[in-house]
Amino acid sequence: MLAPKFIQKYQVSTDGYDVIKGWRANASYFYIAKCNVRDEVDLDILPELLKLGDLGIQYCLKTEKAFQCLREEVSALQEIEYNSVNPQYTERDRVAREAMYALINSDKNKIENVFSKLI
Amino acid sequence: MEVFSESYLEDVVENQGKLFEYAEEHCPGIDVTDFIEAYMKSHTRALIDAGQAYISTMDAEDLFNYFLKNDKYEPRQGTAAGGFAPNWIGQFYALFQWIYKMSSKEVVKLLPVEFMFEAYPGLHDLDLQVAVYKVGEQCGLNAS
Repeated sequence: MLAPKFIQKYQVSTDGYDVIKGWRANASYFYIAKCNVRDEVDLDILPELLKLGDLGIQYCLKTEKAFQCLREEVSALQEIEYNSVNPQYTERDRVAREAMYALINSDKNKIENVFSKLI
Repeated sequence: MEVFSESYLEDVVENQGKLFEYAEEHCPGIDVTDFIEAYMKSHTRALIDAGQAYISTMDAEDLFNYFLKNDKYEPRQGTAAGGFAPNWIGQFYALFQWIYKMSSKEVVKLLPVEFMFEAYPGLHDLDLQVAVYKVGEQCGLNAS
């Protein structure tokens, strides 16, 4: 219910942009977003939480113009072994998630300045 | 059995509840009892038992599609359960699996889906963890 009001109040227009850069939106990001909109996270710790999520930055190519600027580096392509990479992915996710979980459950998370107060 | 990190627990519990609810809503007339049993015994669920992050963090819809594709499950026609029972059973099973460190396959063998539907009226008003401990105690299990 609050999300549409939040978006209406704080959204940034993306009209006129070809590339949008932001936090990588994977499951760790949605974990943080969910806790945030449920008023489980104090906004003061949000930047630290996002960093702990080990999210990195992702780029969204929004327009035809942006795609046309891409160049393929065939020599940079690598074939990777699922059985080698998947455990690394799982471990990285687990470590990031445990760090976020610990921060959310710590005294640093005062839960005073929360999402619903932003509306 | 080693269980996945507690930091995934809330999401796994919630998503499994939503998965069972989604199955019934998405496939009208589905035999949801069969779906739940097949899912709990599936390779998909075994990956979550093992803490595979990619599967453990999927939402209900993605999990549903992943299960159908990777376990080659075909929904069967049956009597709809309706109501909140499928969601609650999903959450219960997920929490029970984690607390008692059992595989999901063993959980559904110990607590068949039909039993869970019968037990739902008496248990669902309790706090979920309390309900899990109550049933676990009846089964002679110890939560470590």
